[in-house]
Amino acid sequence: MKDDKTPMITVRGLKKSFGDLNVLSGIDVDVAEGSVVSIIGPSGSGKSTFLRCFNMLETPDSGTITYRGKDYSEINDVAFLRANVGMVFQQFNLFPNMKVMENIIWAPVKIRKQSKAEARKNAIRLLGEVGLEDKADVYPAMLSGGQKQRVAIARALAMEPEVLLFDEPTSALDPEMIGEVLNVIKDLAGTGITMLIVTHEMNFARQVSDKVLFMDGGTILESGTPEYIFSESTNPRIKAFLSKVINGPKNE
Amino acid sequence: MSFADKFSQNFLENDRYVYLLRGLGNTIVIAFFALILGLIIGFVVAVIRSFHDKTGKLKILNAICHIYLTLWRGTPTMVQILIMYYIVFVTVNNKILVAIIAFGLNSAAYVAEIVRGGIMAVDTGQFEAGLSLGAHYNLVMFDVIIPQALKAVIPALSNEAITLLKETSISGYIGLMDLTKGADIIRSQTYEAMMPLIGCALIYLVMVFGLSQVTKMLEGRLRRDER
Repeated sequence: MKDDKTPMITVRGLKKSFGDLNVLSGIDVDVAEGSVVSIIGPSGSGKSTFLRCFNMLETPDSGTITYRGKDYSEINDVAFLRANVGMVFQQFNLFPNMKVMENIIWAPVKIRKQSKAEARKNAIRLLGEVGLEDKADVYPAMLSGGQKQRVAIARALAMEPEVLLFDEPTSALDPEMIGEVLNVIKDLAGTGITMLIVTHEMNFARQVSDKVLFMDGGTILESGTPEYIFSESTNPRIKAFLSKVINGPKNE
Repeated sequence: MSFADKFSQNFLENDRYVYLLRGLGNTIVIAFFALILGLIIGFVVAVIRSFHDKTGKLKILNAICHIYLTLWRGTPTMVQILIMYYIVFVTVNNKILVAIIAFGLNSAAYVAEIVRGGIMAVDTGQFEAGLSLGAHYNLVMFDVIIPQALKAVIPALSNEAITLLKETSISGYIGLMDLTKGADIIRSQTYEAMMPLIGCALIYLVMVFGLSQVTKMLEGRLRRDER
């Protein structure tokens, strides 16, 4: 992690509630450029809502997110921000009416105004990177869950985003497909792209992250290096959570 | 009188089959253009209404659409066509045109709700995926949502087309000779109800069957594209 630099994204006092339910109750985080930040914690702790604030799929009630010195509330062109902050969803959300190739080149052609030839060339390279070069001409319905998610990652990367958000990218997958998706994400770490990952895969978070945020009840209970969160933290809430998810249900 | 005699009396004598042919022509013209009009207006209304549903904008346009839907779906088609002919378009002499507009507006009200239902039924994740790639609302709507919505509502739209075709049989009430009126004219001349009315019913049946087949083909083709 590049702590010597000014952070690329700064979050201060972020709050959000749905009706009476406080989902985020005051969050402060710095995200360094090129770093990998994992967000872990129990279900309902506000992880996904927090992540969705970064590309303005959710609007916080109060607090600020500053991206390269610019406050989100001053951004008029939300679409422009979103083009630079990609997202990978739990449910993949590939467009079923388009083939894999069309899924990937849609945004670069329609939004970045790339030529089709250029976008296709890029898409073929990206499909190669996620190991699916032979699937360009099939519809998403033909793909397995793991393949869909890899295409979704390629689709997000085609916009050449500076930041990539992962919202539980393996939670909807069969166990045997989780590895192939995590490997793709691991390969992306260290390429310079900044990643925020909401995940329940603790070993993965430990291996890939520069920084881990532990969220509970709409706040960040603790944040630090993976070593700190997974081994050194003495916070009883974190220890209880980790022992449950790492040792699996056999302890219960 | 034998079947052949009756047939000859009702359809061949004095070229009575021409009533059916002309009526059929009018029915097809009215139903076809009313369907096109209904699809266009219905589609626009659906897009406005779902835009309002999703974003809370376009309040006034949405209210206008809502009033239109309430009026047209809340009154009998029969009454609507009479109002159109005797009040709204009282100065227009082209009965076919009046019928097309009346049936088109009526059908549009149903098409609008069918298409809107289809749009709202597309998973929100599709919208979010489109937006998250940096697209504006309209681009996601037209490239991602509407193609999926239309595919889902083709059976319902086909049903609406069939209903519309059959509903044009009340065109006779504004003095227009459609297929039904044509058959009824023959009945009034020959005092023989069976032949012209059953004949007319069979012609409707064949057309509806044709429409169903076209729908099946369309559905099959769309499915083949994605499997």
